[in-house]
Order: sequence, then structure tokens, then C-alpha cells
Amino acid sequence: MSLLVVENLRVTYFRDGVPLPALRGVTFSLSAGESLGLAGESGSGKSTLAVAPLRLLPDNARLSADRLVFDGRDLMAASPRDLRALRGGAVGTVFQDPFSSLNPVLTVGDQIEEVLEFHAGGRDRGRVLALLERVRLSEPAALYGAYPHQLSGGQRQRVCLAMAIAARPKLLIADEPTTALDVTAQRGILDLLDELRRDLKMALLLVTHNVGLLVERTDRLAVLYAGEIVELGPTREVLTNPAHPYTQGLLRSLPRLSRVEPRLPALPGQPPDPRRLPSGCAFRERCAQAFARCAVDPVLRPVTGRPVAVACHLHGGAA
Amino acid sequence: MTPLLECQTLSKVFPVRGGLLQARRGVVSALTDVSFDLPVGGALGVVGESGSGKSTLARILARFLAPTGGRVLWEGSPAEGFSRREWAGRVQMVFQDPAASLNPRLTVGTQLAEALAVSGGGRTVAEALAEVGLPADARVHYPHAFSGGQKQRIAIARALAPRPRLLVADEPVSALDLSVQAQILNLLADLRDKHKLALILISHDWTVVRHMTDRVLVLERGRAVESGTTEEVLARPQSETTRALLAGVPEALR
Repeated sequence: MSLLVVENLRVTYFRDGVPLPALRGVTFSLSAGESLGLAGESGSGKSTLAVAPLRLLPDNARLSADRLVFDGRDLMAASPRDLRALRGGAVGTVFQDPFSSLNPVLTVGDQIEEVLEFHAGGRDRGRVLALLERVRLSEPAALYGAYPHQLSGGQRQRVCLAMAIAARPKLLIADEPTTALDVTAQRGILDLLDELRRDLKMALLLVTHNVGLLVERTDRLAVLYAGEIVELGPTREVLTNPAHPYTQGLLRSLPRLSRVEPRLPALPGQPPDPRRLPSGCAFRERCAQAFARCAVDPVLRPVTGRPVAVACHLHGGAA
Repeated sequence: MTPLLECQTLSKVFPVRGGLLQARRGVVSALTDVSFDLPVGGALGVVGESGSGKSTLARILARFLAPTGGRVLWEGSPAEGFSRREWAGRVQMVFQDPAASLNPRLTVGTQLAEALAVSGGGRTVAEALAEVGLPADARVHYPHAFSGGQKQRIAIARALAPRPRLLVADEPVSALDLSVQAQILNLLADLRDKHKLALILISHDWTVVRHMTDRVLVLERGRAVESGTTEEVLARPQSETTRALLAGVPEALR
């Protein structure tokens, strides 16, 4: 059974009355304990997709979906109060900038105690210390009374993680959780996430543009382009044998150890302006293989004989 | 032939602070006896984990920091013999976060004009923008109006304004979107060809180092543990550190 089911999710931001589509009909599901990577460029909608299922959106956003179900509960019908209870409870979140997620005037101990109070039956100093130890922060007793500004970036991110897992969530949503950290601190946080997935059977939605992280830390990968999933499948399969021309072009443009060439085959152009999306496939203006049918919206559908789904007419058969 | 740049037994010691209250606890050696040569127009990769000393090295080369031991020679002459302005006309830096090297309160045109005024050889802002692939009307905008890749192009234009002969690039693409990374690496390669620009590329990413450099220096805890041609080091890594770093390259990028 799926832990999270998302069908035809649409999110549009309104700026000065102008609609800016961020997600344009996204469908996927996530099983218990599974790790799904969300990859895409700035503006692809990946960060919106990370927060939209919990409806953690600013006031200028409008959301619709055919289905939005978490752990058997219909989130489209959930009250703001129900949603608040989920956030920080059954669903933990960790974001790129640990500073903005922490309250500067509360001690580390107080912030974690608040999570326990709201989601896990009450304040409990012993549990807070155990959580700090769990995220491998040394001297938990000293940290308990420390303020966020007294900690390093890696320590702050670990505190955020301790808060996110305090109520033993079924799903952890992590948006570029290690981008602000150095390589060693990065590895520590990611190893910890893996361990928590195993121990708590926690599912992970990991937003990152780091190919290495996607390979090492995710089971499946969704590639987003201009607010749509253009390719979805087992991470290794997608990265070694990409089906969508966008995924293909992106991977081809990256330098490799085994290949030296004077110029990299960079993808031409820029992602489309969300206010002026082309009809049909959003990638077609940058696609060398585009043909007449690309003016019609492609649908994400399974590729015959492969475990991947792709939204591209090149794989469309006799559609 | 005299190298463009020589580093002889460079060392840097910092006071170290630790614990919750950041009390001074002694000193740490960020860089210990690091030596290398860079020929005119050459490209050297400096690879290591965080804490390996690679950013300290970059900051010494840009003269943001003074070494506590050893020396830097420019075409055989000690770096201290050059004024800051003279050094800035020779060595420039590009950083991981382009926003950090741009002033958010000045238009792009103003910032480039200032940089060109130092020793731009009479080039115009429009020419400097064209060289990095940006339209002339970019000059009237402030940095926030640009995407990460465009900001990095502006930072590169600014760094190249005084016509340096060495560019020190500290993780220049690791914060950019994947499709933009190739565009920026191509731009750097084109500019190197055009201006016979030498490059020191600080990176943790072996694929970028492989693509951009002909020699590589591997640092661990401030010491050089391996150096050689990039090809040779990749084919036959000698140190445990290098092998461990190379093992981190995902299969899909080999």
C-alpha cells in the first residue's frame, strides 16, 4: 500500500494577479520506507512539490489535486488543524537552510521539547537528550541549553533533523538538506537519514540536484521539468539509460572521468518562462528530436519493457 | 622557463576555537609545506575534502590571507613585492556563490565599470558582458534580477575585467543547476583559450577537474599527498586519499 498518493497535483502562484504555474499535473506515489529523489533545475517545481502534499504553501498559492492521500487520509479534505498535526508529527521536514528553520530566541532543548509537547505526548528532557545523541551531536547536555547561533552549520542541520524525527515520522521531506554543508558533514547527515529509514521504516522525499546523492540515497527518481514529471523510474535505471531527451541531454552535458573533450555538449537555451509556456511539451523548443506531435501535451506513461515512465512522444508508440 | 606562479613550502597556521563558547584552544595547521609550479596558461586542479586546506590555499593566492610560512613567486618575483592593485591585475578569483562576489546594491553596469576602470585596457561594459555571453542591456539591472548561472557569468566578467593572467576558481559550478554547469565550464574554457589565462581550479568534483585541468594536486589535512598530470593520477592513483576521493564519483559519471 502506498504511504503517499499524489494524482494530478497542480500548484499556481499568483504574483500581482499574474498566474505562475509551478506544478502542472504531477502524479506519483511513495511506499513506506521508500526513498524518492526529486531532481530538476531552479524553477522546475521540485521545491514546491516537496511541500505541496502537506499544503505548506504561501498565501498566494492555489492548489488542486484529483487525489492527495497520506497514510490512508485524504489531505484535500483535511482541516488546517489536521494538517498542522501532521507537520512535525507523521511528516518531518528538513530544509536547506537550517538557520531559517530554528527559532533564534529558543534554546535547542526548548525547540525539541516543543515538538514533543505538540506531537508526542509531552515534554521529556531524557528523550530530547536521546534525540540529540541519535543525530550524533556530542555533549547533548551542553547543547540542550545552547542557542542556534552558537552552533556550526552542521550542528544546526542535525538539530533540525532531531526535531524532524522527534515524533518518529512515517515520511521525511528533505529539500537540499546538505547543500549548505561541507562534504564530510554532508555524508554524516545522509548516513543518518539512511539509518533512520531502516530503523523507523521512514519514507524519504529527497530534493536535490546532486547526481551523486541521488545515486547513493534514493531508490526511485522523478525528473521534473517546467512543473511536470518528465521521467520516473528506478534511480540507477534513469541515470544510466535515460529515456527523456531532457534527462539524456542533461546527463550528456556532464563531464565524465573517462571522457575528455574540449567542449561539453551543453543543453542549449533556458527553461521556459512560466508565464509563456509553449503549447504541448515544455521542452520541445530546446529538443533536437522535436517533431509535429510535440505540440500536443505528452502524458507520463510506462515505456514498453522497461521499469520507467516518460512523458515524451518519442516513446509514444501509436498514440 | 620561469613558471607563471610558484608556491614554495606554503604553510598557514590559524588559532582554533572550539566548544560551544568558541574559546581559543590552540592552533591548527591549515596548510603545511605545500609546493607547486604553474606554467603560463596552465591549469591545475586542487582536490580535497573540506578541511584539506584547499580554500586556504585559494585565499593565500588571492592575497586575502598571508601565509605563515613559505612564499609565493610570480614570474620569479616574491608576491609581497607587488602592490594589492598590481596583484589584482594578475590574479583574480571566482567563488562558488556568485552572489557573494557581487554587490547587491549596485547595477551590473556600475560594478563592471568600476572593475574595468582599474585596468580594463579601455574595454567597455558592453564588451565585457558580450565576452561572457550576456546582452548589453544586462548592465541596467541589479544582481538579484539574474539566475544563478547568469550571476556567475557576471562574476566571471568582473574577475576578468583587469585582464588577469591567473584565475583561481573555488568550486565555480557546484552551486549551479546541472544544465548550467556545462555552459559555465565551456565559457571558462573559451576564455582561457582566448586570453591564455592560467587556471587554478579548487574542487571536490573529479569530473570537473578531469575536464578542466592538466595537472592536479591532492590535499589532505593541509598537506599535499599526491600530484601529477590529471590523467596519470586518475589512471594510477598512488595515495589512499586519492583512491578514496575517486571512489566517491558515482558510476553514472565515470
